[in-house]
Amino acid sequence: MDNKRFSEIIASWAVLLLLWNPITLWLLLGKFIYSLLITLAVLTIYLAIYYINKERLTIWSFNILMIGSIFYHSELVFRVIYGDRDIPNLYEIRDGYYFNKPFLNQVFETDEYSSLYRTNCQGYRIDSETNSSESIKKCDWLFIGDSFTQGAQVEYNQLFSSLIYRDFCDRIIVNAGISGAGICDEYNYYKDEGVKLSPKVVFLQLGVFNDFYNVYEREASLKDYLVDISSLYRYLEYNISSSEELPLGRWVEPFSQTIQVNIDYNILYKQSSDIKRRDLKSIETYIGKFAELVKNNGAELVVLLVPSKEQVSDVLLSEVISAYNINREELDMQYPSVMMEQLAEKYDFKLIDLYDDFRNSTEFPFFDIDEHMNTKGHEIIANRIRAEFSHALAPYSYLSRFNKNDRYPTIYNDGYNVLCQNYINGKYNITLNTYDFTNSQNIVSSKRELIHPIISPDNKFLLFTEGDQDMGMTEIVMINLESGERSIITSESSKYGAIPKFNSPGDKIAYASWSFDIGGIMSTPTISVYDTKTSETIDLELGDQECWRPIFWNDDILYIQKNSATNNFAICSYSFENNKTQTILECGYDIWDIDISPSNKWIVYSGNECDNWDLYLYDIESKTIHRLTTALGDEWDPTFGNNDSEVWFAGTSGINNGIYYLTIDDSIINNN
Amino acid sequence: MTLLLIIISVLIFNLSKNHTIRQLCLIVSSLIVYWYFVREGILLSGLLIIGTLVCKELIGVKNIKFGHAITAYVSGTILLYLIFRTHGAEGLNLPIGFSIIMFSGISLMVDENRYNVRYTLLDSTAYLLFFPKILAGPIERMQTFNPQTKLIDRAQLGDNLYLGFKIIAFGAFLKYICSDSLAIYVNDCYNGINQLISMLLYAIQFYLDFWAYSLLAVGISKLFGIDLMYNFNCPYRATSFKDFWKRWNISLSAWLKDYVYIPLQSRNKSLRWINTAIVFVISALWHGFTIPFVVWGVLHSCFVVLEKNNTISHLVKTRCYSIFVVLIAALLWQTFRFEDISGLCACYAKLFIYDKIDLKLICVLCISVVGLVIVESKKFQYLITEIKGFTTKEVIHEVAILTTMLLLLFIFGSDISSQFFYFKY
Repeated sequence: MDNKRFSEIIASWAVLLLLWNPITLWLLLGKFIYSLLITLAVLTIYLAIYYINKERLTIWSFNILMIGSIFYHSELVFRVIYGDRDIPNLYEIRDGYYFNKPFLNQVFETDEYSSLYRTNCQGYRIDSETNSSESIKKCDWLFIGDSFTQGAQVEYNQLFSSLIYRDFCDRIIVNAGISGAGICDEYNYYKDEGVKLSPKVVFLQLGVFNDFYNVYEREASLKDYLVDISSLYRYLEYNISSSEELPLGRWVEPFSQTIQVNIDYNILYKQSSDIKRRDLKSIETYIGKFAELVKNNGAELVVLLVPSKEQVSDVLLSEVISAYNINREELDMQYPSVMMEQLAEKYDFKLIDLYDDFRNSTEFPFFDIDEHMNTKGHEIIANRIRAEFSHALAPYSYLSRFNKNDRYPTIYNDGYNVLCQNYINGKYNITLNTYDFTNSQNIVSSKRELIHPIISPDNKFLLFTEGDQDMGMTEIVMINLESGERSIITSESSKYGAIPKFNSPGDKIAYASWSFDIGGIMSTPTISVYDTKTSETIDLELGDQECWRPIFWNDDILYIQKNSATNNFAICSYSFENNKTQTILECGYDIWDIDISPSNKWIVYSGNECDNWDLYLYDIESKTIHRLTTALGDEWDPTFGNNDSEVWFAGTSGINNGIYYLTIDDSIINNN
Repeated sequence: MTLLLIIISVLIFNLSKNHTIRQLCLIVSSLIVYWYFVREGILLSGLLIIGTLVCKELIGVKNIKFGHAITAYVSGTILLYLIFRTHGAEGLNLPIGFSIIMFSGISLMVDENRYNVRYTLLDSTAYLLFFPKILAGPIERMQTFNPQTKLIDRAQLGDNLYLGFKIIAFGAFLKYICSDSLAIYVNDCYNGINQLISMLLYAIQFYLDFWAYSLLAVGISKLFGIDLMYNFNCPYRATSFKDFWKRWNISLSAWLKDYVYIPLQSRNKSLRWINTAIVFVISALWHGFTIPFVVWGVLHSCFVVLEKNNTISHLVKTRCYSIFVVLIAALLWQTFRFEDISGLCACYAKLFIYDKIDLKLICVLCISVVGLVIVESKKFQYLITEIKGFTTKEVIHEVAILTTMLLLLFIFGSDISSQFFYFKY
């Protein structure tokens, strides 16, 4: 190689190193090795082009490298200097559709609404308190749809899919609505992801816009990928598209100012075209495929047809037809309903047409500017679903007002009050609630875990576990509710305890206890009994297997103990009279959370028979077991009220959780 | 996947020396594309192609009278065409490409008879199916198409691919950046002068859309080393209506002239104006069986006939007349927007309702006209449609133009699923 060529290459490389600098690339990509490889690739490509020596190729290469450099530097500058203007990318591209990104935590704010939008690790919408790393493995009801189902304009608790939980609280309900999703996206979502949740009922929400035009499978475009990777592009795109004026000052989908667009894409416009006919045919195809797939999976398909603003309000319709010079006679506002009715009959699915429900509403169910439903709209849909599925209401009631991790209910004050723990806004609370949870009041709050609350029979003392459960370092704390005096029952050094219970007179407290040796090894938990009068504690001799959850049973104690042979917990009793233990109930599955009925006839417990926790009732005399709940979710912490027929318990159904109330009647006992 | 299969077809076609393999390659790639675009209509189109081939073979082998055979073929296809055009609302949609196959089939049979040549079944199938032109033309003739499939010049491969790429990029730019951007200004909310501007914008959009498709067809075809005719030649620079039709959809105009007008003229020269009207009405009905299309055809034919009249012939070729031609052509394109006459009348009636001038529309029109002048300029066309003999400066210009187009497509390109206007005709 002669000197001239060598110096040319070195000079060009110097320029290229400025354009594709590994340091700036590193700042952008965050991985030095990739940055280095990209720079090396650029230098190598240049070398190859230099030796090929074609004028056109050289100019093209320079252009591309220069533009690429400008682009990535612009992106870097935007991220570093204008990072606060970054518009988060909410969706991820999947095969044949797009879906919420996992772990979103966004606040959507416009002049009309403000809402928190959080998603869990799977991209499903969750409320403010739910742990986003918890996934949903199974569900009963799955709601698939577009932005009307997604409901990003209202809070999680105001979504129709959340509102119905109060009446169908024995079901795990999942909302998989995605803004802009059409029937093809929805079908692909169900086929690839939704089906994994094994829903028993699939609700497919259709609107008169997304689902009725451009009905074809979409492949992700370059633009979609740009939105995915570039903050600068998202910023520009958002600001350019949002700067466009809204016709009539509000969204008017599916109406257009152009007649041809109405002919081609507006399902409410009578006149049709090849494009519209193609779309309608495609809708039928996808509805048919959807219905068949749902049926093949042993589930039921329910289509929810949500009308648009102009279908609901004649005033708004008049505004549109006047501004767009549309003849009213050219419109058939109920065509989607008629079409869906025919398809429902043909493909054998249940249709819930909300046209009349929305029109008959005294309050306008949509936002004024935004085209989506307000809280009223969500209420209307929830009410209709409630009516349509009135035969399948949950056999127990959901008491908590919203998800705040309510657990461990105990009833006192003659059943008028429910004491429970919860975790909300990063704090653990022990709360006092009215029996229907309409009023709630925090008694104790702490950043430390406050669990297993219980009130003494004379209502003077509050007893609970406090500390770090994971580390096993929890103590039993008692607070005098009158004086506020706080004492620790497990005050002995290196002794810890949990899950305390009073006896009927209130002079003894039983709890699970353990200690740590010098090496930090935890002893086998056993049951201790604390005498409030003498302040003495005795540890019961219950063998070498761990024991938990003591409750007083007449003069004895019931508790659960692990069976070393089966590795399952069983219900055992300890007699103070003869210091003997006895196994009361042992099943082929784990038993936890026991409570005894006021008449001492029944033991209610939580059992893990079907890979989830359900409630069971054990008749001590007849030694028979009755299953109380069969839901997919977990029911635990059962406690009797003032009589044998009332049980309060805590539970989780997918995203939803709280305190529930069940009345035990003969039918439940006889049916099980 | 479809794209990958086409790339493979292009490579096999260009690298193979065997004519049969090359023909098969064209047929297979065409079937793939056809399946992708018109899945449901492939059976009908397939039947039409088979029908064409059978008719063609019958004429040669069985010595059936050409006139009878071509009459039967034309009647049959027109009957099918009529059924599908008039029953579209009942779900009987005319498959995309039907008319191009029909036109190509007629020209194939007529040309075989006229020039006394015989094409093999493979040649004819490749010609009828060739996918770049099948959706909306240009209607290439067999005598220009067939020799190119036999021409093997590997030295040209790089140039063909690059030129094809340039023309495709330009076509995509015209469609997805220029034409689609105008869509929001073509609506029915304007009155008076704004309505007129909106109509002119529609005329530009309509032209850009159709031109873009034709360019894509030429570009894709070029990848196979096959030259298709450029279907447009600056139509809005026409000096007369006759000139306009020499510049607009050139292949269809030429086809109608060669296979309808000339045969009619050869029978009775004195009925020239009636023959002209017949050609235009046929063209109108080909677009659709609606009154607006008939109005469009009749009016165009009237203008073409009137131009031949001595009383106004002196006006022709004046600048004012050119503007008049463009204005009338633009106003008549509105017939493509409405299926019934009442919609069309309402559209024209809005011209007479006073409205304040919308400056935004004026700006968009000005930008569109300037843009049109630029992309139609000789220099621009040279940079896009040629490849050899470029100076360094020209190469820099060419690359700069293409890079800009690709960047704009990359960043602002509208939905790729956006339909071309002419696919439905």
